[in-house]
Amino acid sequence: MAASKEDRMVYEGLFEHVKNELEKNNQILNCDKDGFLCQIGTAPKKISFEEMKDLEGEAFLSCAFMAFFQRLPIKEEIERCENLSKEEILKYLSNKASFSIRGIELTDCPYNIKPGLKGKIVGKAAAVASSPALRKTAKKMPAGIQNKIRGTFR
Amino acid sequence: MRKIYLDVSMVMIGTNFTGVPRVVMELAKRLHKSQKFDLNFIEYNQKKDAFRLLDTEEFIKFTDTKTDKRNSIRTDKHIPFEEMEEGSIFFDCDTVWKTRVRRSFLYPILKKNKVKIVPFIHDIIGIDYPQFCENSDVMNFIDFIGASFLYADRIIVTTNATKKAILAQGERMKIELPDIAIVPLGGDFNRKTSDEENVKVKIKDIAAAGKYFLMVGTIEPRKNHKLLLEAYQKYLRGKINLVIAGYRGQGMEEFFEKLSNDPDFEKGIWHVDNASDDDINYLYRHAFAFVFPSYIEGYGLPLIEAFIREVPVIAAGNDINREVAGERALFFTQDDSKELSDIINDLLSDEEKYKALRESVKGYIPKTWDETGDNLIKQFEDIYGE
Repeated sequence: MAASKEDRMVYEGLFEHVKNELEKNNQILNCDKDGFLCQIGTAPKKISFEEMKDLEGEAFLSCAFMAFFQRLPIKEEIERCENLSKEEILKYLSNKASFSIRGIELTDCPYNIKPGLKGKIVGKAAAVASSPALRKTAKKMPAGIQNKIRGTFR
Repeated sequence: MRKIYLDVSMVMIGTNFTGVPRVVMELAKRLHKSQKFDLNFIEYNQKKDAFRLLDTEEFIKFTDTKTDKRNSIRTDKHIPFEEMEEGSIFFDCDTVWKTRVRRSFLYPILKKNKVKIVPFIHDIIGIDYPQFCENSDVMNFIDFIGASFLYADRIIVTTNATKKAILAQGERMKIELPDIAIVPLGGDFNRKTSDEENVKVKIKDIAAAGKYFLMVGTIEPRKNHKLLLEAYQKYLRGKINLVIAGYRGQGMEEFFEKLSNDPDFEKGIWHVDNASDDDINYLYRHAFAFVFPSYIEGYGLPLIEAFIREVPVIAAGNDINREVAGERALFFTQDDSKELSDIINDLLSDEEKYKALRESVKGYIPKTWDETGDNLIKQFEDIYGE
């Protein structure tokens, strides 16, 4: 569900404010504004490709990551997606564990985008590993190992 | 009886119940006691793409036990987003911007179905101080705040400082905001009597090593622990010890390197990780002073925790700390380690002054969670003009 023009103005106003605050503190907001605004109002599971099909480059990537995973891409993911077509990017994202864990269904999409096998397997493992007891144990591990675990289920 | 829906999706997967989750649990207990509203706990269920109804009594039990085994709380009943009961209240007080159900998606549906929307905005740090947050968290937070501005029937905040910050956003964007009500948080956490036998030997040794100033809370950039280390290293070494208790947050690598490389590490400066409630209680009770250099806080519960234990407080003089601590604390200019050190030195050398500060926190009675619950119920009634 795309946000109305009036609603978008509020989200845009907040986005601009945050961007300025970060710049004042010598930080950068690694998110394209159009990409961010496009994914406002996205449903948890059924996500329409129609809404994002006209976006290009960084805007498309920001929008897809936020819409699917509610996070921005990390450096390696941005590099991985460089020079890929929209279809290839979507295929790459659909192979991630989060795509499977979240049960995402991409609608109005001309490409055949289904959760990849790797994502499905890791997704099943995540269902087991996400128990509070196991997560508590993981939190006691060194930061490097925790990051590796996060990366696996990303 | 009118229904209140409370989405506790994040609490249900949580492992750490301080901060917002602790507030959610305290509020849940008080709202549950109300005879005027029918409280319904819900969580998002991805398989059904709907809210799952939780067993109210089991969830209330969980707020005490905090058990890892939570399946008994879950029922098979689900409520599609479009079928939340007309005239009910959707009360958001959990960290809902982290859940899969974006409020920019949900709130318009609820509004259309005449459900009253009442978000509890703990703070707007993610908007006004995004430099202390992850970019992704900020983006999700904008979603929640934007939806709250656009669709809430009433916004609840805990301090006047947060209300002012929200109004400033409204003014800046020239938009009309919903009513904003202030409901301060309680400070009477139901903590079991402290048992000194359970306090770790290491904690007792630290407290016995000499006078120390204490900071409690997750170690993250926004809390400004680096100022304490700077004060110690430049001005206070050999005069007083420093104890920092809290989980290690992200973005603090440089701080920990400086901390662990200090020649006084584990002799005059300590980092206490994984402390139990008894350990923390012991550290508070034996501290010379609690020092709170944080740049920005939602509510600053550690200040209240210090007051309850009658520990003198020295805090950064920002709006939120001044509002919560009032006349009881001493304040220093944010980021001024010299001024902070001067205050500590002064208290160390002037026994009368220190005694007076101790006296000012004696007999402190915090606001109670029952009062917070009553205030919230009043807000809900007020929405209906009752």
